[in-house]
Amino acid sequence: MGNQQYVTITHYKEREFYFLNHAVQTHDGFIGKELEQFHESEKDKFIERIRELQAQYPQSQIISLSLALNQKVVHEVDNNKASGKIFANNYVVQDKIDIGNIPTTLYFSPFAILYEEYKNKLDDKLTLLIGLFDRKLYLMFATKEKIHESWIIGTRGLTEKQVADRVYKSMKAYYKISFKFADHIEMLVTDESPKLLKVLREELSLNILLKQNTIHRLLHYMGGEPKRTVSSFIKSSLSKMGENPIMQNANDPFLKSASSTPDNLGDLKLNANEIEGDSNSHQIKSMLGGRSSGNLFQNLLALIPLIFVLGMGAFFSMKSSSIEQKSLLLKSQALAQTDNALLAMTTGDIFSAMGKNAELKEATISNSKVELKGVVWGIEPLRNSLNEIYSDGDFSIKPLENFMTEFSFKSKI
Amino acid sequence: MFSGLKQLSMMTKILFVISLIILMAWVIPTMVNYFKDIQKQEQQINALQKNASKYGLSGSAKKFNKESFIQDALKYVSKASVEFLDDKSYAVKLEVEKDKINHFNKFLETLSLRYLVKVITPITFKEKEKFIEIKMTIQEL
Repeated sequence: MGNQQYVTITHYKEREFYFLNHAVQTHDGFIGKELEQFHESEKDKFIERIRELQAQYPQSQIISLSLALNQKVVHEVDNNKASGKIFANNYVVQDKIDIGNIPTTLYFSPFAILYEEYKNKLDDKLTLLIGLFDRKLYLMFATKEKIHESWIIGTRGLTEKQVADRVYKSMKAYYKISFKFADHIEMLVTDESPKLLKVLREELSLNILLKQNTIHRLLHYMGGEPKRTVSSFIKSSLSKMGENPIMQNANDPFLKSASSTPDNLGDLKLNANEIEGDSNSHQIKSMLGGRSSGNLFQNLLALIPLIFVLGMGAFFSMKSSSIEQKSLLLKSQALAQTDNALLAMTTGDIFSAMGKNAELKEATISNSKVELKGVVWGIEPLRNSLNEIYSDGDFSIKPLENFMTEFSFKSKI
Repeated sequence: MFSGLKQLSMMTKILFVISLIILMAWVIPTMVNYFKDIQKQEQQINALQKNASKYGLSGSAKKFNKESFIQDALKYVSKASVEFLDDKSYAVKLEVEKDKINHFNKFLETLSLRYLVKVITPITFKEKEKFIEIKMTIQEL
């Protein structure tokens, strides 16, 4: 028979290492166990260890942290994206849940953790909440009513001083877009670097209150109470594990209260929509790339070469067609010129053949036939001359009343 | 590079493939034809210009214009008139002195180098005292 304690198993990846921890939840808080570390090449071993813990503690949640850069706090649910409800109409969303094959039942955003950490300090005044998770700054401007703005800034490769500078600059950036400075600034640092804490304290204003905590402790805290678990991207009852730890743990005092809360039902509905959406339109979305604005942007970018290629094709087709027309015209002109030159040559030959032996009265000349009629004085010389040009011609003579002789000549060319 | 390609959405990949197919099957052959036609056209123009230069003509043939045609014809023949028929066709009537028929021949030889026209009917010659009346029908190309 397994252990009936409610245990939160937490894991996350930083650089090339997976960090694993588990803690027993009690009414007075959680009791953390030893931190375990696995290199990414030991992924199978790491997953195996999670399975072991899961088997050891049937009443458990496997909790991880989303460090996706595309997550954002919004005020309306987007069913096409993974979302977690932070509070009221404030949701954290990201394009998709990417946990690979690592068992996870709850998946929190740093924004949700930040809110949870500081929600009791929020009032009507604007507060800037800053979280430093895995060398990324998660910033959100919040009042007790809503989260006004959120964004993420990477600090990878920066010195401690530069990190402090980034924090300061992000405050200025918010001022530029909203003309508001935060009345109060809180910063949660999960990095256990004492140097970073020291520099942040030195570089930032004294008004910025620094707090340090580990990701594992924050995750254990998030998973400790059902009220907090609702802000997970993955709703445990519909997790990939095919398990229902919350329902399984319905008798657990930590979990009993949340399984019937309106928030939770709302989230279940939201989640159900996601799953229906997945089954019905997942393929269409993946085809259209509609799962994220990034994909949409990619599709729009992919349209550029298509439009360019079509434009180029249309341009060269038009040009080609116009060149072809002109080419036909030039060909016709060259042909007409040849015909005219032949006609002129035929005419010249015929008039030369007349010479002083005949006088042409009528003639029809083309490049296919000649028909001549006139008066002849020297019949034989004319016949000979014409026969030299047109050997198959039909030459005939007819005496006229005025003692003259008329000739006619027909020939095909 | 290939892992980057794998991350593209299906629609993006399809659009790229369609672009590539259109490029290979339509655009490139059209471009090749276009450049071939350009080359062919240059050869035709050169041949016509070479022909024209034999007769001391320069420039390319003009579109047919009645007045201009008559003016040009009168440099070779004594009388010239043009009547519009239909379908871009014109009945041309010329008169040339009997002993200057070779002038008409020269005009005829250069006709299609001056104007974009062709002679579409046989040419008829009829004696008219000291002149020969010449009739033909020409059509714009």
